[in-house]
Amino acid sequence: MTRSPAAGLFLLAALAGLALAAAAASPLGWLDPLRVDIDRVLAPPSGAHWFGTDGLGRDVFARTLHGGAASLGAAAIATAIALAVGAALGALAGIAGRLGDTVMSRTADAFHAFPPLVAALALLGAGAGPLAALPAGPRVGLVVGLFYWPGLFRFVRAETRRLAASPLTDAARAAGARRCRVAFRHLLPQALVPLLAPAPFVAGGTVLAEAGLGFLGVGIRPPAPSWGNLLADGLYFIDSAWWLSLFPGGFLFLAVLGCFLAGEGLRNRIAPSAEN
Amino acid sequence: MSGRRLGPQLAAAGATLVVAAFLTYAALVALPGDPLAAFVSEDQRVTLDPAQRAALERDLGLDRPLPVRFARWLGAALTGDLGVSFRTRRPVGREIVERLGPTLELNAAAVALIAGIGLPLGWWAARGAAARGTRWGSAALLALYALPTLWVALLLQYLLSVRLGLLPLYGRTDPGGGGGLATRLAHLALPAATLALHQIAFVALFARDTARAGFLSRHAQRARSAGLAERRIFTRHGVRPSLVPLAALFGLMVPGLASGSVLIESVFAWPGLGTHFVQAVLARDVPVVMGLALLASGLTVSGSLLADALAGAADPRMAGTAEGRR
Repeated sequence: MTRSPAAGLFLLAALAGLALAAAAASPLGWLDPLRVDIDRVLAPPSGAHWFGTDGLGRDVFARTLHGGAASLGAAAIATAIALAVGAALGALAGIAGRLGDTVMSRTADAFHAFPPLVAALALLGAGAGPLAALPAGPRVGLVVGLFYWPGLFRFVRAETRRLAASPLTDAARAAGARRCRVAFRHLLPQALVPLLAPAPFVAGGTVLAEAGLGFLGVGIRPPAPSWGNLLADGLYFIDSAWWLSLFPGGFLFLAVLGCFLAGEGLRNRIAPSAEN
Repeated sequence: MSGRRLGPQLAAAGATLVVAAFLTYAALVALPGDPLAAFVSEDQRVTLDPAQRAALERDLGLDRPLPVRFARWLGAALTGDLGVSFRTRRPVGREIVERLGPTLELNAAAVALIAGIGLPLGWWAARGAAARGTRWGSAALLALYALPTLWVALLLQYLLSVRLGLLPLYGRTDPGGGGGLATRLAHLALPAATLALHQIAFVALFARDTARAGFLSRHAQRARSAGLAERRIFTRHGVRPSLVPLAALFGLMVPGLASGSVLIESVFAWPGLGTHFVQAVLARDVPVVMGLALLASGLTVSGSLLADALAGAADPRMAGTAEGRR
């Protein structure tokens, strides 16, 4: 189960596929997340509405699938930013002199000093500035990514340092390569392979972060659905409509589980000694 | 203890906190279009006339250049003066102290649950995996780790409070503030359990990995060949060497607990710092948001210092590397 990343990756692909299918189907009139059926407000799951309807009579199945597209999209942006910034700065710090390394490491530590949800909440709440110009999904992704890169930075920096001390670096330098070229052409590609193991755990963290922000009302906002703001609906109707919490939260759980299973599998592939 | 390393580590932590404070200040005060947004309604129906705006800017020191403002704010913050809330006009520090109790109560209960359940669970999984070669225990722990706190909170709320009526739905006390110890514990049970859930899985996974590594080590094999009982080998070579790294792990839990407290307190309307923070963010109450962000980063840095010190004390080679692999 945790020996190969296949199960986790399959789960993620299935969820992403469902989200894409919903996005493709809604222009044709199917699975419209905003269509109001006023005669069936807060209807429990049935043949017509598999996951029931919400307080405005909107189909929860459609909203869960579309919410998945929004949530997974924002999480993908956040993960990409965290990986790109962490890898680039980590490789630079790995070959930099003492001063450059100290400045970059201290900056990473400062970003790392904030609990991600707390920092993202504060930044999104402050709202104005250049962030306000972005659509909600990329905005949430950018802000969440900002607080997830330091862990990856440390990882790549340590790995680059280790490789920089190897004869490989001397050979490249002797052949006339500059320090930057050594870092990005010779060291970074090798440091990236072990980076595959923590990356899915970061992805899972960003999915959870988006959900938390949407739930608290600073992420992707209604009427556009996201797993986070659907769960806020769930809390609002907690005394009557269990399906509003169960289904979006279940999809959220499957997405995070997919990430973690993929991560554990990759970790065992890359460093088999960790598992027996 | 590793006294030689403590000085530079404290200096590095101090530098980290100053940079973190500057980031907070820059992001919340310098970056937004209008730091006085709290005084203006979103539809612009309530606005400030130029004279009021100038007076407020002078009062809050916003007419000075950014580095001067930051230095003054930091200087005041170091003496415990975090400014005055935009909303309530009361000192930020005093409001934080008033709200600290419920949050500490919630987190103390959660940490007790994490240690009391997470450690035995991880050790049990390590023994099982080593004995039977099964990985289902590991997959189950991973699934537990992947459970979204929010989702579990809502499901338990519905099941235990709404349907079965066993526990109160929200709040820290019954309406009106009454109730004895039993009522208080009933109110605490669900929030503490859901806050602990994620970290229970984290601790269990870590305990499993370290204990199993020790259990399968050469020392353990040597003990096995000498005829020691498996139980004894497990406690001596699996559990005992991992106790200090596990204690250090609790220092690294601060950010997770802080983020979790924000969510859980919001779900259960718990009157602590988490709900205070969310209310301040939504009302754009900049001084309160900054004060709490600073507090959270200070606690996170102290937590990892503690973890470093513990890891260094256990194994001098480990000094400065307490950050786990996850």
